[in-house]
Amino acid sequence: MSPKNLNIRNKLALLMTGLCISAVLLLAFLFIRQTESALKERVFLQLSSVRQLKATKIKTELEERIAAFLAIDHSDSARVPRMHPLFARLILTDTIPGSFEQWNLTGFRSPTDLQVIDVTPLAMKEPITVAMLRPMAGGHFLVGIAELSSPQNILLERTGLGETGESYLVGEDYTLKSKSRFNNNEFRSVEAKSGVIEKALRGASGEGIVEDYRGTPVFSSYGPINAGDVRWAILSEIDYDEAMYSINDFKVKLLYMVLAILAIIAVASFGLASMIVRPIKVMERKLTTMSNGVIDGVSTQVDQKDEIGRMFEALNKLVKALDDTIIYAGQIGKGNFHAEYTPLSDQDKLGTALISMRNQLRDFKRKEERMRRENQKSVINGEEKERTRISKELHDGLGPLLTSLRLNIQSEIQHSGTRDALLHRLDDTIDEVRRISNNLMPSVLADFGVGEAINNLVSDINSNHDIQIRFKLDMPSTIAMDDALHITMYRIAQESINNVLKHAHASEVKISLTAFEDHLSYFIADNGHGFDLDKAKFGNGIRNMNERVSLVNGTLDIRSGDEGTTIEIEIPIA
Amino acid sequence: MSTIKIIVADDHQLFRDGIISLLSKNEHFEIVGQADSATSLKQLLENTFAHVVLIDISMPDMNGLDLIEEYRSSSSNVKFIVLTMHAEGQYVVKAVRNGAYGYLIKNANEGELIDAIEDVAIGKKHFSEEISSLMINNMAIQGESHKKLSEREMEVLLLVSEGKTTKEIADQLFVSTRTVETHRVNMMKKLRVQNTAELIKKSAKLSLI
Repeated sequence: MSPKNLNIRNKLALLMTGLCISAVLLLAFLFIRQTESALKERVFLQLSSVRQLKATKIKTELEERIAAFLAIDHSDSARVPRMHPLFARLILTDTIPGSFEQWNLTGFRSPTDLQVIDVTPLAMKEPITVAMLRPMAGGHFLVGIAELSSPQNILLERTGLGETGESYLVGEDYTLKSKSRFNNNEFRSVEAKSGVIEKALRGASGEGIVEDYRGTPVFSSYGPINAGDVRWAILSEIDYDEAMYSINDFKVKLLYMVLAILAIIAVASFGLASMIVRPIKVMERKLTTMSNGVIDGVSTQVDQKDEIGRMFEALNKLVKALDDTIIYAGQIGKGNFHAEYTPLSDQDKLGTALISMRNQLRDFKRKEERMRRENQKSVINGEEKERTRISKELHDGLGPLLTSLRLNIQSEIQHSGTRDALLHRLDDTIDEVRRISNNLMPSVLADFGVGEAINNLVSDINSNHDIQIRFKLDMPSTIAMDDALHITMYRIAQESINNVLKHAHASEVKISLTAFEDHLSYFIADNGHGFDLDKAKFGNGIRNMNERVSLVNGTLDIRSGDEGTTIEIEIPIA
Repeated sequence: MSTIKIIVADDHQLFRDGIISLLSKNEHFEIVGQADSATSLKQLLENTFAHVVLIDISMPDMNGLDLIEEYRSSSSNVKFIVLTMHAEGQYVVKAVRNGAYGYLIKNANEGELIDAIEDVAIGKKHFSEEISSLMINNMAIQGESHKKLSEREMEVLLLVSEGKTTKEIADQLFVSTRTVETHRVNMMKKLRVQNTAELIKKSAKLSLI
C-alpha cells in the first residue's frame, strides 16, 4: 500500500511509532556503547593490574637469583659451593659449554660481567630455566642453572580472571614460557606471535583487543620483563566473549524491553491517532453526505477549541448558510419572491446569484402581470369601444332610418287605422332599438358621466322591477375623470345591481356614489339573504367586478350576512 | 298667420327629407334651408334668416346642444327646437339650460311637431308632458352647492351634530362607514379643526348648523 492510500490515523500512528522507535533505538545504542566502553576500561584495568603484579613478582624472583649468583665469591674456584638452594646446578668450567654457544662472550672478562639467558627450551623441563654465566678467577667460568618454578605458580594463579582469563610469558622465540590454561602439556611448542607480543618484547606495555595464540579474540594487557639478557613478554588476557558476556546478556534483555516498549508505543500511537482523527472522520462523513446534496441543516458539536474545533465552527456556519440558501431557493421555487436573504459576505456569490435570480423572476412576474393586465385592459377597452360603436350605430344610424320611415308612414298612408297600427309597431321597434343601444352603452354615460348613467339605470329598474333602489349621487358634473373610468364604474355598478336582482332576493337596495378629491367611493347595500363568502363560488358577477376593480387599482370589500350584503368599492381618480 | 321660416339640421338625409316633406304640407311653414352638420348650419345661419331651427343632438362635428348654447347669448333671434333620438332627461335638462325652446323625440307625432314649431315661432317654449316629466325628474338631482361644504358634507355634519353614530349616518345616507369617516375628515380639513367637537363648535360659529 502506498503512503498516499494510508488513512490519516495510520499515517499518524506510523509516524509517532517511527519517531519513538528511532528515539528508543538511538538511546539504547548510545547506552550500550557507553556501557561497553566502561566495561572494556574495567577489564583492561583489571588485566593490567594483574599483569603488573605478576610481572613484579617474577622479576623480583629472577633478580633475587641473579643477586644470589653474583654473591658467590668468584676469586676462589675451590670455594664455589656444589650445591645451592637457589640453583639447580652450579658448574665451574673452563670452557663455555657448547650448548651455550649463543652466549656472547666476546670481551667477557670482568668478574662483574654477567650473562643471564633463558635456556628453558634447552632444559626440556617444565620450569622456566635460566642460565647465568660469569667469569671466575683463573680463567674459569661459573655457570648457574636456576629453575624458576614460582613463575608458573604465579602465572597459574587466576584469581579475578574468570573462566578464560590467564597470564603467560612469551619468550623471544615467540613460544609460551608458561603453562597455558588451554594447552597444559605442549605449551612449549605453542607459538605466540602477535603485534602486542612484539611490542612487549621491545619493552613497551599497553593493552588492546587482539587475537591470542589460539586465534580467539581476547582483551590483552601486555608488558615486558627484562632481567640481564632475558627478555620476556608477560600478557594477561581474558576471552572477549567472557568479558563481554554480561553486556551481551544485557543487550538481549534490553532488546526485549525495547520490543515491549515499542509494542506499547504502537498501541498508544494508534489509540492517540484514532482520538485525533475521530472528529476528522465525522467531518469527512458530513462532507461526503453534503457532496451528495444532503444538507440536513444540523450543526455538529465538537468540544474542541483548536483548528479542528474552528473547522467545525466553519462547517456548521457553512451548513447553516447552505440550509438558509436552500430554504431561500425553495421559497423562490414556490414563487414567493418576497423571501428575504442576507448574503453571508460580499463574496457570497451563490447568495448574490440567488438574489439576482429572485429579482429577475420577480421582475419577470411583475412584467407578466402588468402585461396580463394591459391585455385585459385592452380587451375590455376594445369591447367597450365596440359596444359604443354598435350602440351609436343603432342609435344614430338605425334610429334615424326608422324615424324617417315613421315620417313617411305619417305622410303617405292616408288610412288612419292602418297608419296608426304601423306607427304603433314602429314606435315599439324604435323603443327596442333605443333599449338595445342603451343596454350596450348608454349615451348618457359618455355625455353626462357615470352618475347620471347609474341614475337612469336605477330609474329604469325601479319602474320595471318589484324592488326599490335608492341612489344617492354626490359627484360634481365637472369632475375630471377618464372616459374609461366612467365606463368601468358604470359596469361595476351594473354588475353589482344585477347580482342583487339575480341572487339577493332583496326588497330594498341603497346605492351611493361619492366623489372625493382623489377617489370614487361606490357603496351598495341590500337587505337580501346574503351569502357565505367562504363557501360561495364567486360567480361571474363578482369575479368580473373584482377584475374591473383591480384593473384600475381599486379596492373591493364585500360583507355578507343575514341582514344582507354590502359591497364597498374605492377607485383612485388618476 | 305669417309664414314660419324653418331650417332643418340633421346629418341623415332621409330624415331631413321626411321632415321636410311632412312640414311642406303645411302652407305657412317655409323650409329655408337644411344642414347636415353643425358647420354647415352655422354657415347657413350667417346669411339666412329662420324663425325656428330643428336641430339634432348627435351630429358628426359637434353636439347640437353645445351649438344652441353658442347662439343663446348671440344677437340672432333664432330659436332652437331639439329633435333627437335621445329620450333621457339629462339631455332635456341640458337643452333647456342651453337655451332650447323645445325638445322633441324623433318619433313624435306630426301634430306635436307642428304644435311645437308654432309655439316656439311666437316665442313660447314648448315641452310636452312626457318631456316635462323627464326634465323634472332630473332637475331634482341636479344643482350644486357653492358653499364651503358640499351638500353631502352638510348632511353628514347635521347628522353628526344630532349625535348620530357613524354607522347610523352611513345607513341613513346609503354610504359606507368609511365614506362617512372620509367626509368627516374632509370637513375637518376644510374647517381647519382637529376633532369632531371642534368641528361642531366651528360650524355653529359659521352658522352652518
